[in-house]
Amino acid sequence: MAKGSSNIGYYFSEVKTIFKLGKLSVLLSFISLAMIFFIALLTISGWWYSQNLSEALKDEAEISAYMRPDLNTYSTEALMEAIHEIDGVVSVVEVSAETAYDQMSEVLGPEASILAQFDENPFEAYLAIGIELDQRVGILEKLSELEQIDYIRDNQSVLEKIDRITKVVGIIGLMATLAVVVATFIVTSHIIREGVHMHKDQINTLKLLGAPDRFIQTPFIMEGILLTVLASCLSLLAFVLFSTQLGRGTSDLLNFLPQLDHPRMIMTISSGTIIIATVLGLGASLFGLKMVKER
Amino acid sequence: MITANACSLQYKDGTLALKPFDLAINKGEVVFITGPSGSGKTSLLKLILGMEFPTSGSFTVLNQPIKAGCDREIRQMRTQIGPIFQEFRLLDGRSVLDNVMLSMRFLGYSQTQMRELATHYIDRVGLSHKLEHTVDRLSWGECQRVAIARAVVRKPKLIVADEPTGNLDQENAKNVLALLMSFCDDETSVIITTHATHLVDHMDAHVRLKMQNGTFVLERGLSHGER
Repeated sequence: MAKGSSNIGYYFSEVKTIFKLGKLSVLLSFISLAMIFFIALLTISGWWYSQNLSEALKDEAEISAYMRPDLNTYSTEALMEAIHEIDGVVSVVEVSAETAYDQMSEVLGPEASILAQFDENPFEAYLAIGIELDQRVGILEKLSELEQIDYIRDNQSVLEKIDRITKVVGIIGLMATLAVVVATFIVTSHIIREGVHMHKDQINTLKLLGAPDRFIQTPFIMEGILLTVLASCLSLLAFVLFSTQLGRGTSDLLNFLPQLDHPRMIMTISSGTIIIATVLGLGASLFGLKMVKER
Repeated sequence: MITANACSLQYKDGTLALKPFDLAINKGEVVFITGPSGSGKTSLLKLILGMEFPTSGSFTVLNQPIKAGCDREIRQMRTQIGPIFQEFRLLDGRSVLDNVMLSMRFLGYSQTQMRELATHYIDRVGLSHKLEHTVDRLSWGECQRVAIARAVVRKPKLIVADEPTGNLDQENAKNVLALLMSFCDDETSVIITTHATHLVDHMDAHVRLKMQNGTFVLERGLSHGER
């Protein structure tokens, strides 16, 4: 125990010396790693957003059923009850033509003035039917059998498109992660090898004094971990600033989309990135040291 | 402590650095190895430190055979040796204290123990006033004293000094030799190589070995009476 704890100060001072001696290489590697992490963060957060958006839209999966115009209130209530009986229907809400108009005005925001061009309300009353998405086909069949329903509109094609986009972004995210792993390994292991090369006289002296490999290698491993963790922290900082600004800009623009939990995403991605950076720094340092030929 | 049986050393480029020789160095002995440059003194020290392996015969240091495939054991054996290199091999940019403490850092000493021992030995080599000075700012002679302190601070069983008198005037050279010999006791042997034969003639050694062209041309074990 005394061995490890009494050397912590020494290890840190060695890391400082290693950084100082390889100033330019370390700086360039640091910037490269930060940029690699930043690109990966953008891709991964894009994937996270699209996946969460898809899930949120699925949770809000709805079929709009437009009733025959001659249906009276009594018949509408009976129809709603009949729809509620269908397996997989979660809720049935009557949306009046006025409510539909108001909803669209809200979605359009400043552009809603276009609706004033119509002499009459262009929207019809309908039934908003909340469903379990996997029961969609059966529900649609049952609804088509109901005479009181004029026509049906569902957002399945939108959901399918979002699902496809999510898959594509997911694949890109996976590839970006792989690229980060490989690039981080190459950059970090290279800088470690360079550090070992610069310190070869010192390393040989330590070997001749009988120092074990663990003692000799620890500062280099710390260097690798510090490099990747600090680079990931810098990229996280840039990412948080960027995504917060982007979030502010798009929340007003895309207010019809379900709102996602931005702080949770930042927390999850930040902790994940720092853990990955630590593991990568450790792995790449060990790899770099292994690649250095024994003398 | 050191035994060699029909041991020889030939480098990869074909140079025969040490012709087959036998040798026995015991505990508590001061051994001077003299001879001109290129006679094989440094090659012998390389064998002792396990930096080279014998081409033929056997070579054992502190009961550890020096041979290929024993890297870990040889590294462990080195912790019982205090080497003083011709070029010192001090760590630039670090203080005298840091350099001396370096050789103890991986041996399980606490920070306090390391500091106390290092301070004591730095004082013993006469550099207590330069404890916190970086070694880059020291003179040649002072660097040599730091190297000596680093070698002896961990109380090795064997102190090995390669040409410690090089670049020193006669007075300082004698002082350095006397200082090194003062660390010899019942448990610790001291091996010193030098090409300055005239310096060691009057030193109180147990064994003097003279080398020439990779072989021992004169070997003299001194009796107590002679010393």
